[in-house]
Amino acid sequence: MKKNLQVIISLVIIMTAAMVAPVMAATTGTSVITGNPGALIDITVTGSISNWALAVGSNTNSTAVDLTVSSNKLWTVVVKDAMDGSKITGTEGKMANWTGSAYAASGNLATAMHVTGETVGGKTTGADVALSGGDQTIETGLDVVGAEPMDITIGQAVVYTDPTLPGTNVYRIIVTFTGSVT
Amino acid sequence: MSDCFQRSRAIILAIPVVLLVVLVGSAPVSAATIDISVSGGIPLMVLTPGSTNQNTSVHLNVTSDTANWTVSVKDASDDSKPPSYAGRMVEWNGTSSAYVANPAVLGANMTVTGTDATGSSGSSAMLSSADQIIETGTAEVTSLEIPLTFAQVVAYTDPHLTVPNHVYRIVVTFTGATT
Repeated sequence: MKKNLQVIISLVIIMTAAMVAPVMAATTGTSVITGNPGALIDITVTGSISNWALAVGSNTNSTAVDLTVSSNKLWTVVVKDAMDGSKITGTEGKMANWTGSAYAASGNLATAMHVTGETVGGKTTGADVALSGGDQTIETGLDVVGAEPMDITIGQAVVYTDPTLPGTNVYRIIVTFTGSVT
Repeated sequence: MSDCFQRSRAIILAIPVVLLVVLVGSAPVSAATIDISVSGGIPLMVLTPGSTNQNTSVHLNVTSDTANWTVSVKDASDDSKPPSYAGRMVEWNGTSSAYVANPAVLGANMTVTGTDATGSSGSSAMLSSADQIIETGTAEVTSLEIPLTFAQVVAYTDPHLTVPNHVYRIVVTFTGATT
């Protein structure tokens, strides 16, 4: 009798469970996604030097100009004097006589400007170049970088034979930075 | 046997009979079903560094005979993908059809977003190894087409892959369920 009772109770429990158990179903699907970011570099140059107090001898400025590089592939940054503003041929790399609105027909510093890139350990190797009309490497990337800042040092030698300019004229140069992936 | 004993025995024997009657008399219980399909994959998704890249070319198709359904997503680490990279796109060798040892891995997890549709409410999930709901049914549906948005943040520090036939890859698993 006791055994019968146990069987009956078990049956009741099973039936009850069957009545209240949630009914579930499931199905799946998949989606495969692939891609590869294109090689890309972005550089930003900030700062300039206005009315630089040039003295006879060596002049350097390591704080005014900064370079920031982002690149997802190994990279370089080069500089050149692109002769912007109709700069007079023969003055490549050199600061030239600027009237305020145009370059004068003559007059330029004797020595080419130097541009030096900073070395940042493990990320980039900097170099010093005497500016010219052709691209020269000042930074060689060693790794991918995201908004990596670098100090750029500008150097300008002045000799006694570099004349003081008349009136409000100044010596002027535009330095062009170009980044590329390698 | 005493009257008391006979009465108890009769009651106990009657219980299963009553339950059977109740079960038979009730509406038949059939399993709720859901069927889902995904329209495909995204070969060579445009990934631009420095931005959140979105693709809406894939859609979900759902049929459910109950209003109580969900669709979840996860990265099941298919094809022997290292589980520690779940949710992220990992360097894949398309020549050998295998993930690369010591792979490049995108820094950010992929996000999958289901849109709102008639009979369903969408939500967004950052992919991981666990199921996360991106669609919650509000009605029975038949071949309900639901646009999906795959979003992937790419930073400049995510390397461009230079080895031929190497790409970043992820397999997203969708699971439909009814309750």
